[in-house]
Amino acid sequence: MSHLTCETVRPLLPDRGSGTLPPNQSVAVEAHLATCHQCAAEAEVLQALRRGRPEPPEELAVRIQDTLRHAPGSSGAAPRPPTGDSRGGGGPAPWWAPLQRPGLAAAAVVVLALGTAVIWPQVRGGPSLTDLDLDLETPLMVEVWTEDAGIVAGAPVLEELSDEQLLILLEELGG
Amino acid sequence: MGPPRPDADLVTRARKGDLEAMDELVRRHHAAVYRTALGILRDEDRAQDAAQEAFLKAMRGLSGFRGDARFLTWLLTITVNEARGMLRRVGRRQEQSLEHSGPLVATDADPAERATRGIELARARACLARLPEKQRLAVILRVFEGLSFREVGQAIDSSEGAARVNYHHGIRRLREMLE
Repeated sequence: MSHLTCETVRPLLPDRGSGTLPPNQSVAVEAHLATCHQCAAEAEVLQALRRGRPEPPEELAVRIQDTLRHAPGSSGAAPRPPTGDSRGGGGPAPWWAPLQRPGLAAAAVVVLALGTAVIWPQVRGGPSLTDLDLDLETPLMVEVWTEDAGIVAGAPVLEELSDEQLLILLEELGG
Repeated sequence: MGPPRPDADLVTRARKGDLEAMDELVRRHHAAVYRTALGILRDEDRAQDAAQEAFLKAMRGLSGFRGDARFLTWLLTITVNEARGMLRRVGRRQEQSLEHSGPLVATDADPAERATRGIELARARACLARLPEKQRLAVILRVFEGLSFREVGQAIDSSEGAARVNYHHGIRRLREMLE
């Protein structure tokens, strides 16, 4: 059997510790360690490190698996069969799905109208939000509109505006 | 029960959306991913978050895994990038010491032995935590995860030679601190 040098043995010590050295190499390394104080000391350091190896919390694997199953865009999302789980099943809903609910559709129209009233003047260099003096603290009372009411979208908000504010808005929308 | 499936088989199945294959990859490698993230972040909670993000990115990017390297090496490269990014975001000031991470000794051990070993292990961890990041990572990946120096280099974005140097410097400093 050939004798190994320190330069050969030291890089192999982690494999010795994990038991992955081939048998013939293992015998040669042990023979070297029996006679080399320096390499034996290094082997002890590695053993101390290995004993102190941190382990993950038990629940981590399950947490990751669960995340992968429910994350959009991961390989696991598309083929997931319906499970009845409230967190998923049946594939992702389109972005417009919430608007198919009448109440939310009405709210979206209100937001659009309000957004136009607030942002458009700023874009045009007109009065700002503070100029309009809107009461932003009072919650808007948005009704669930019927289909017919949809043609006057924005009416509940416009009713809250003063004549002066309405004129500004009409001017901007008309201009 | 036959021999465990190679990672490459599991990756092929996971690409097709096989949940059991993904679960198995997580079971096999989550500890290595966690330890690697912990080696950079030195904070248990953040290491768990980074591990989760790393798996998420890996599974989303499985189509980009060409199989040139082992799956574990590729996964740990993603982990290193994720943890380094997280460290930049949270700021180094908030780092905690690795010596505080995880149970040090099995709680069913003899109390006297537990105390002795606990001190020894806490010391080993504290010393490891004091190494510069690249040396620390080189030691963690080589000693804990059994990566070759070439793989360590790939994971920490350095050459194989630099990985060797970092490892040996790290071990030498650990010896000085522990002896």
